[in-house]
Amino acid sequence: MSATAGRDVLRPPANGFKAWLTACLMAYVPLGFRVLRTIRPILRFGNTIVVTRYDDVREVFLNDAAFRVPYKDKLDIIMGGHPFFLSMDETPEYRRDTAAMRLVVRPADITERLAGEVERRAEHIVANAKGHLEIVDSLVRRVTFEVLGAYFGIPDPPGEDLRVWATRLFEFQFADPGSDPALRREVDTIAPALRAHINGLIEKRRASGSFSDDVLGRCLAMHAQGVPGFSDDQIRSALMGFIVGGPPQPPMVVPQALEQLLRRPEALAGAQRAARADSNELLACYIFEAMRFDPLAPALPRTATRDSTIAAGTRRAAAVPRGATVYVAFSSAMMDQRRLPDPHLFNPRRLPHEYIHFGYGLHTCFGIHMNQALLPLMLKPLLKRPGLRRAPGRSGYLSKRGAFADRLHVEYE
Amino acid sequence: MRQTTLSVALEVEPVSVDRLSALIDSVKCQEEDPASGYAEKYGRLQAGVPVLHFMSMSVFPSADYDPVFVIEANFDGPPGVFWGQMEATLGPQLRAMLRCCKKPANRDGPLFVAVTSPDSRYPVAPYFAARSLRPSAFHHGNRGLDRGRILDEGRLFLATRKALAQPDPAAPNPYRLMPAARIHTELRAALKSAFPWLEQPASVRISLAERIGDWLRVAGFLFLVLVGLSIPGMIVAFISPWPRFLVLFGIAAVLIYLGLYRMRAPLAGKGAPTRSGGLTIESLSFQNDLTSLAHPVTLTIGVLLFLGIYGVVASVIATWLGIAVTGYWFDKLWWPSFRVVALGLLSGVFFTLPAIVLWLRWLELRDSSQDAPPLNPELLREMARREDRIAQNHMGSLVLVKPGVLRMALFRAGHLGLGLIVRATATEERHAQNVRLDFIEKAHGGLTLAWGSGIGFPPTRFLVLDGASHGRQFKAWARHSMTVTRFWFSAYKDYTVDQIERHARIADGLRKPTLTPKEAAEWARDL
Amino acid sequence: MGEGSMTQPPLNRRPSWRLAPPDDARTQGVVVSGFSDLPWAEALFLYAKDSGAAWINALRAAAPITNAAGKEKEARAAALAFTCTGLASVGLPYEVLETFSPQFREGMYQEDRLRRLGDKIDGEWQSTVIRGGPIWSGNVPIEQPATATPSTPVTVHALLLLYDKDQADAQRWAAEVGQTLAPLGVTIVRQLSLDLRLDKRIGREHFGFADGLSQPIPFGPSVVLSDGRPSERDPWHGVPLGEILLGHENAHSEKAPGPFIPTDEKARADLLPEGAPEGFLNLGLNGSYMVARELRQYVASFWQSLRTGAERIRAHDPNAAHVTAEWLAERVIGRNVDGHLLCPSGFPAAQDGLPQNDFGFMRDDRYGHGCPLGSHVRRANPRDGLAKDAASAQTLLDASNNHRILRRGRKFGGPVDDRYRDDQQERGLLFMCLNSDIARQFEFVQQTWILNRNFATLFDETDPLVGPKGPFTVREQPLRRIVEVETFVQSAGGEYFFLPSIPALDYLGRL
Repeated sequence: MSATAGRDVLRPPANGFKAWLTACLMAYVPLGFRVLRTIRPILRFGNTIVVTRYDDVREVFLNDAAFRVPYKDKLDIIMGGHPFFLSMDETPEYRRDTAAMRLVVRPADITERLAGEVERRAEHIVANAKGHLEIVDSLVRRVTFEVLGAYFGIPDPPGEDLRVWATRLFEFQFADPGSDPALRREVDTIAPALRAHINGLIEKRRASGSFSDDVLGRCLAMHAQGVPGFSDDQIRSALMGFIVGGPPQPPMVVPQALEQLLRRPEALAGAQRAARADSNELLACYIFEAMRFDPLAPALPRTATRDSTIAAGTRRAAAVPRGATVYVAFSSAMMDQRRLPDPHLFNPRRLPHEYIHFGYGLHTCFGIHMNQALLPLMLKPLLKRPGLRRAPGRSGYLSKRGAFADRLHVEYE
Repeated sequence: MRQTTLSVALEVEPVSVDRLSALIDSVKCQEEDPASGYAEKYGRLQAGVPVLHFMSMSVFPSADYDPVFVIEANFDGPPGVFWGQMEATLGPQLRAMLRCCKKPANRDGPLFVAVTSPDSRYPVAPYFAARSLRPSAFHHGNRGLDRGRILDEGRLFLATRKALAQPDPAAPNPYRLMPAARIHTELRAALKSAFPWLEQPASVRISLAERIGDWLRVAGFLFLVLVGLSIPGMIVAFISPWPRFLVLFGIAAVLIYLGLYRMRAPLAGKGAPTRSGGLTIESLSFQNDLTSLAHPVTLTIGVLLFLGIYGVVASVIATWLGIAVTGYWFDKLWWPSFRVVALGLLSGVFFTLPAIVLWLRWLELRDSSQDAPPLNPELLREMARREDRIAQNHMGSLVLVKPGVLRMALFRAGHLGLGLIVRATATEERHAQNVRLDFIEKAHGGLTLAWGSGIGFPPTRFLVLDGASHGRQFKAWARHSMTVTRFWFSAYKDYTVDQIERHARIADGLRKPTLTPKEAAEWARDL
Repeated sequence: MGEGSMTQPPLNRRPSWRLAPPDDARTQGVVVSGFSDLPWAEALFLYAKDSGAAWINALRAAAPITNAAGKEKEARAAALAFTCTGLASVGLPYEVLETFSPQFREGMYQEDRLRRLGDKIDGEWQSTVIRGGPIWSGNVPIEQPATATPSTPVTVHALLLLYDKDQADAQRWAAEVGQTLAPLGVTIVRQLSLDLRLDKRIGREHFGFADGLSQPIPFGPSVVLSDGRPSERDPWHGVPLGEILLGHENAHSEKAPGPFIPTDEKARADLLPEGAPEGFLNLGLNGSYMVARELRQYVASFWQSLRTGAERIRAHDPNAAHVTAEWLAERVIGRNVDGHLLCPSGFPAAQDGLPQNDFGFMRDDRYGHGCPLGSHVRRANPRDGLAKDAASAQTLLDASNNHRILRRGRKFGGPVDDRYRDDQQERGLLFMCLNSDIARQFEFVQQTWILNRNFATLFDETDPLVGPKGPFTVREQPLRRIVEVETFVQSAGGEYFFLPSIPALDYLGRL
C-alpha cells in the first residue's frame, strides 16, 4: 500500500515511439475533428464510431437509453462491486441515489462555504509563492483537494496521499482506454485501501457521536434518520465516487484554461479586468471560453445498447450496431461553426448552450454547479496580480502527461 | 455582417391547427409575462437568440389548401447558428409545434419522424434548417448593421440626448455656445468612457467584395435573360443571311408593335393612371446624382456598355462552343459566332422581348381580378387587435400564383431579378418590414410588379401599371391573403429604419476624432 | 390649429370650386362651403330613441337643409348628419347598414380604433381625453360584437348644424328646432355654440392662430370653378372629388364606394342607381362621411407652458433672446399667428392677400429649419416633406394628397381676455371633417402622421399641439432645441357621421 506513498501524483511519462506518436496525434486532434466535421461527421471504423458535429454530440448525450456510459466494469473494480450512479441507466435506483446525494451536496454550500474557501486558499498560495508559481500541482490540485477533501469529510489516509489515490483511480476509470496492466496492479491495491479508509472514517465518526457538518457527516445523519439511499455501502460508494470523479479534474482543465488565456493577451487582459473588478460571473465567462479551446478531453465514450441511427433523416445518417463504442467528441462540437458563431474567435459572451464542458442529459456532470462557480475562483487571485506572464523557458508552457496537465509555471509581480 | 432572411413554410395537420395556434400564443404569453424573470418583455428571446432582428410566426388558413405554418426570420450570420440559438431558447416549444405539422413526403420525412417521435431528443434545429427557404426577393432596411451594433448605437443616441440636455432649467447649456465641430469633440470626450467602442473603427457595412458579388449576380442574371431572349433569333441567324434576317424580324417586330399599340389601353373602367408611384419614368431624373443609375445619362451609358460586354462575352463563349463542336479554330469561328450573337441580341431586344410583353398583355386582358375577396370579419378583428402596438407592424400574406408557363417564368425571373437588383442598388434608406398603408400610395409600381402574378390581383397593365394603384381593391385583396401574425418579435421595437440610420450617422461621426466644420454641421443636424 | 375651420372668404383669390348641376342641388351645402358669411352656429346633438323617421321631415321643415346649389351668400344654413346608431333608430334596415364603410359601422370608439387614434391604449384613457373618458359618441355598434366597445354616457344619433348671421338668431332658431322635435321624442342631448369671430378677416382658433388655411381642392367632371370654367387639378392641393363625395371618382380611380339600398317604391323617387349594384340604388351618392371630435383647448396652459419652455431655452442659451412664448408657439403650429408658413428664408410671399399655401417643403425647407419637422401643420399635411430626395418629391406629394380631409370645424366657447390666465371657461373646437374613406384619410392622418412617434426621423415625440405631453423638436443650426410641451387639447367626445345627400335625406324621412 505504501508503495504509492510519496510518489508523483501522475504516473511517470510513457517513453518511446508510442508516447511520441500519441503526443503528436493529440496535437492534431482539433484539426482532425475539423476535417471530420466537414467530410465525415460520423466516422466509423469497425465497431467504433466518432461523432463530431454539435447536433450529433448533443443527440448521443441526450439519448442515454441507446448510448450507455461504459463505466460499469471498471467502476465495479473500484467500488468492489457496489453500484454507483455514474454507471447506471435511468432507473429508479439511479433516481434514488442521485436524489439522496442532492440532500447532502447542497447548492447553498457553494456560496456559503466553498467559494470563499477556494478563493482564500488560492490567495494564500499565490501570496506566498513570491512571484513564481507552478499552477497544476501547487495551486489547483492543492486547493481542490484541500477544500473538497474537507468538504466531503475525507482526509488523507494515514501516511498516504489522497491526491495520488484519487488521480490513479480516475485515470483507471476514465483515461485508460488501453487498460494498462501496471495501472491495474496499482488500482488493485489502491481501491480496497480507499474503501477501507472510508469505512474506517465512517466507523470512527459514528463512534465519536458527533457527525459534524460535512458530506460524510450529513450522510451519517441521514442514515440515522433512516432516509433511504444511505446504507454504509451506499455512503462509501458515493464518497468514493465523488473523490475519484471530482477533484482530479480541476487540475486538468484549469491550467489548460490558463494556458489558453496566456496565448491570447487580449483575452487574458479581459479576464484580469474581470478578476480585479471582482466580477465572478464575467470571469467565469472567460475561463469557460478558454476551456473551450482545450477541454477536459477530446471525446467521451458511450456504448450502444441497441441498433440505432445517429442523425436520422440527414445525409450523414449513420447506423450504429448494438455494442459499438461511440466516441462523443464534445471538444469538436464546441468548435462546430454550424451552431457556434465564429467558433475560432475567443468570445467571452457566448451563450450557455454553446458549451458542452459538462456533458448533457442523464450523466451531466454531478458537480456542474460547483465547478461553474469554483473553477474560475481558483485562478482569480492569480489573475488579480499585475504582470502575470509565463515563466521563462519551456516550463512557462503547459506540459501534459497523457491525458493530464503536468506543469505550468508562471511569474507575476 | 451579412444578414440572412429566411422563411419556413410547413403544412399543418388540419385537426391540429387550433393546437398550433394555441402553442404560438403560449410562447407569446410566456414572452410577455412580466413574471418571466427578465427585465423587459421578450427578454428570453432577446437574450437567448442574440443574432435575431425580426421573427414572425403565423398560421395561414385557406380554402384552397391545408393550413400553412409560416415562420419568417431575419438575423445576422448563417442559419445554423440562428437555429441553434432558437433550439436552446425555444426547443421544446418548437418541437411541440412541429408535432402539429404534416410529415413531409420528400426526403425530409425521416428527419421529421426523428424530431417528432414521442419522447424524441433529436435536435429540432436540423429540421428547421432543412425546411428553410431563402426568399428570392427581399429587402433589408439597415443592411450591414448587425443587431449588436444597432442596439449599441441606439444606446449611444440616447446618451447623446442626455448629454446635450441641460437638466437645470436656469443654468446655461454649454453645448449651446459652441460651433458644430466643437460640439463634436466635446460630446465625443464626454461619451468615450461609456462607449469605448467609439475608439474602434466601425465594421464595414457592405464590403466591396459583397457589393461586387451583388453586381456580378445582377450581371449574370441579365446575361442569362439576354441569352434566353436571343435564342429564337440565334436559331434563325444560323440559316438565314443577315439582310433576309433583318427584313424578316423587322416585319415581325412591326407586327408585334402594332399589336401592342392596339392593346395598350387599360380595360374599360379598369385603368388607374397615376402620375407617380415608384417604378415610373419620372423617377428617372436629371436631378438625380450622376453616379446613380436613376440618372438618364448614366443609365443609357450603362445599358449600352452592358450590351456591348454581352456581345463580346457571348461571342467568345459561342466561339468556344463552336470550336468544341466543329474542330475549326478561332479565326474561322469568331466572326460567324459574333454575327449570330449580335443578330440574336438584336432580335431579342426588338422582337422577343416585345413579343413576350404582347403575350403577357394578351393574358392580362383575359385575367380575372377579385374585386371583393371574401374577408373573414373575425380574422380581420384579430389582425386589428394585434396591429399598431409598436413602431413596426408585421404583414404576412400568402397568395397563389396565376397559372401558365409565362406567368410562372415571369414570376420566378421577376422576383429573382427584382431581388438581386434591389439588393445591389439599395442604399441604406428604405422601409423595411413595416409596410404601412402609405406604401400603397408611394410604391404601387413595385407592389404591382411583386404581387401582380397572384390570382385575383387587381387588373394590371404591362406588369407594373394599374394593379396596386387600385388602392382600395389592392388593400382588400392583400387583406384577404393575410392572416393574423400570432407572434412578432422585433429586437429593437422602438426604432424605425430611418431612426437606425440616424443613429448610425451619429455614431459614425463620433467615431472620428475630428470633423471639418462642414462635416460637423451636417453631422449635428442629426443630434 | 390645423384641424380647424374653413374661414377664408374667397376674396379675389383664385376662383373657388363648386359643384356642377345636377350634383349641386343633391348635395348638402356644407360640402362646398364653410359658410364663413354666417359666423354663428349652433351644433345640436340629437338623440331619437324609438321615434322612427318622422322627425326628419319635421326638422327639415323647421330647419331646411341647405344644398350646394344655393347663392354665394345664404341668409341661414343647416346641415344634418347621422351616426350609425342614428340610422338604425330611424329604421334603416340592418342589411343596408352593412353596406356602409366598416369604420362607420364600428364607430370611433371601437377598441382597436381607439388605440390607433391615441385615445385609449390597453384599457387606459390617454391624457388627450378628458378625465373620466369622453362624454358623447354614437355608442356604435348596434350589435355588440365580441370585443367590447366602451360606451359614453351620452348617445348621439344625429348632428344638426345651424348657421346664422348673428348669435341671438342662431340660438333662437335652435330653440325653435328643439321645440319642434321634442313632441316627436327627439331630444337635444348636447349643444355647442360655435362661432368664427373673424379678426381682420382672419378666423382664429382659441390659441390665437389663423386657422383652416390649407384645404384640399377637389376636381373632376362634377366640379366647376366659381367663374364657370371647368376644374383642373391643383398642383399642390388637388384631389379627385371622390375623396370628399361618395359615388365620384376618387384617388384610387374608382367611384368612392358608399351605401346602397334595394330598389323599392319609397326610394325610387329620388335616389339614382348609378354606382350601385344591380337591383340597388346608391344611397351614398353625393353624401360623405363626416368625422366629428369635440376638442377642448386649454389656452392658459398652452401659453404658460410655452412661456416656461422659452424661458428655459433662453436660460440655456444666452444667444436665444429671440425665443419667446410666441416664437415657440409659432413653431408648434408651423405658421405665424396670421397663418404664414415659417420658412428658413422668411415667410413665403403672400398670394392674393392671403398666406402663400402653394408651398413644398422639399425645395425650401427640407430640414425643417423654418417650419419644424414635427410642427402641427407639417404633421397634419407633410406635402412633399417626407421625400428622401428631390426626385421622389412629386411621388411623396401625390401620396400625401391621397390622405387629405376637408375641414369644416368651428370653435366654441368665449373669447380669451388674457391668454396666460386660466379663466376656467370651457372652450375648444368642434373638429369636423369630410372624407370618403375614413381609414385612408382621417385615421391615417391621425395615426401615421399626427401621433407617429417616429415621424420624419423624430424620436419619441408626437404632435406638440394635439398630442400628449412630451418633447418637441425645433431644428436650429447647429443644434436642435428640444422642449417639453404639455397636453393642450383633450377630446370630450366624437363619432363618425354619415352626411347624406339631399335625396338620401328625403329617403330617410320616408322610412
